[in-house]
Amino acid sequence: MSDTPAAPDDDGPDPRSAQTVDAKLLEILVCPLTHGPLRYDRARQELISDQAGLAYPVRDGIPIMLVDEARALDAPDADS
Amino acid sequence: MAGAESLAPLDKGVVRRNWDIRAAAWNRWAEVMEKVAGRFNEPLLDAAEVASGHRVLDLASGVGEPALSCARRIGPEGVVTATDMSPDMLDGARRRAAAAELDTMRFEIADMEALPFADESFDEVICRFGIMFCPDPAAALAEARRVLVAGGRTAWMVWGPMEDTTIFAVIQSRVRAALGLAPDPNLAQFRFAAPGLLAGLMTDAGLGDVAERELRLDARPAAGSKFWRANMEMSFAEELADATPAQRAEVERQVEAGFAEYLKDGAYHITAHARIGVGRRPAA
Repeated sequence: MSDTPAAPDDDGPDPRSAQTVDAKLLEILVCPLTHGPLRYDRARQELISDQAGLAYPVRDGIPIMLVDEARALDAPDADS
Repeated sequence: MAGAESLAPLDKGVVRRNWDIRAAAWNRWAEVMEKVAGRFNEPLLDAAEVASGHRVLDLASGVGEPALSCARRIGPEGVVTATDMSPDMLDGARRRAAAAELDTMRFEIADMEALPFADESFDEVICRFGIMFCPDPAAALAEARRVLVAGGRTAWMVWGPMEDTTIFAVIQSRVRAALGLAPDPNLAQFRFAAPGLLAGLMTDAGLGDVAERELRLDARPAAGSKFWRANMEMSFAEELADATPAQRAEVERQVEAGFAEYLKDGAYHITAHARIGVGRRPAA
């Protein structure tokens, strides 16, 4: 589990980062498809599996670790 | 595989949507049902040998049973990871954990057939009335084995035959009849009603020391009490949402008549029958 450097939690009013993933949970989380490591992108509120090429969304601090809800990394996300 | 071919097939997407629909009723009744839920939770936690300071994974936590009971048992040094496929159900668990100030609980949306946890992350894996809803229960059991430490215990609670649990038997037949629905012979809740089916799958998944324990409970709700309303609304959330007030009144009248057959000495004499499949990941 690596943690992408990003803005601190109290850096601004972005509602997406109002709640972050629990640190103890991050220690044991892996990609459900590959069992490989995840990177936590705090700014986007996503957990990224580079091996699988998938980004799992985090909603209200809850990781949604379902392959069919993940964004393919080569696909544009909803913001762009 | 021991009897697994007899399992009725399920569609994961349909199962998940159904739980999102039912979540409002489950949330509404969660606190009322807490005491009854505890009578099932504690034997499950005992079977898994959950103890102070342990790291426990709860699968299909729903609105918080048995994850909250588990958090109380493990104390401040333990951690419970509560998971479910339905965000709307898990929101209830989160709300209740916050109200109870249980800060040793983590929450995550996960599919028990493809868990997002590293190997050997947990001392125990528990699941209360959840594996019946898995299209591929063998995959769920294999995943539990993978994330357990060597020697770690796992316990899975399933319902016995529907007729052994009065509240289901009465509500299923009476509500369906009152709404003009045909009986459903393949209710997912009872997919593991056959004795030995769960234990066989657990053994096939590479778990050791596998056994099935019987849990039989009874209750004596007072005559005239609407003890069945919570269960009815949780089981038939979709159907009742569409019912007219007249239909709803007819449903309640019929359910009450169904339970009247169990009245004796001023109380309804009702029973419940569950099984607990227990096993452990063999030491390496």
